[in-house]
Amino acid sequence: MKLLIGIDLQDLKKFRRAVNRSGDRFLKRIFTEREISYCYRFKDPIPHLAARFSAKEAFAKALKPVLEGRVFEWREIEVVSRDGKPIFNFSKRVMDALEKLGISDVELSLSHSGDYAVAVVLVSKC
Amino acid sequence: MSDVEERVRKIIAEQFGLKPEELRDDMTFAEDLMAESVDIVELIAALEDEFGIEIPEEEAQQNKTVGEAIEYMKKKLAAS
Repeated sequence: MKLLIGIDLQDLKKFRRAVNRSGDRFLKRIFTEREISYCYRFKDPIPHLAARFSAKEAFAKALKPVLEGRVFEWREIEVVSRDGKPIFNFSKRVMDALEKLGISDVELSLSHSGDYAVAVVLVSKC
Repeated sequence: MSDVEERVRKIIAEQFGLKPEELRDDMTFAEDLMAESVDIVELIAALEDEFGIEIPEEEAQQNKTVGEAIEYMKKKLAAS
């Protein structure tokens, strides 16, 4: 088995500026309705949105050695919370592609503090 | 310069804090404009808003330079 890793860091000031400047179109390009409503439950949704954006970026980076280019739409890679832990919920198209690539597991970890949000993704490939 | 080209140039310039005349067609987003993924998503969202179209991620990422993005938008709008 081979392990693939992806990491991504987001500057919260920059992300906040993007959300304030580009609003709905920006949010709806990246996030599902479920992700948006989850993040907007918090007093400040920005760290939660940025961490989820990082997760999607880190996933793409982890897959880069086996899947050149960004072939999925952002919303096809959804981050949901299960028992307090963030996990990916993929579209059927992503699931099919992962199966073809022999990917058996995708793990995700998120964090945010101060001005930054970070995500690490670990992919197990047969 | 066509109307589409002028509008695309203006949006790209605004996104990266430049004047439209400072943009060269051979400038790359990643290196010359030091674009991060958030900048690219913002740029695509702004172009979609301006022209009322949908830009798929796979098509968007083919455009590595300012000139390629302008040509892409011209073709996309001509086809729509």
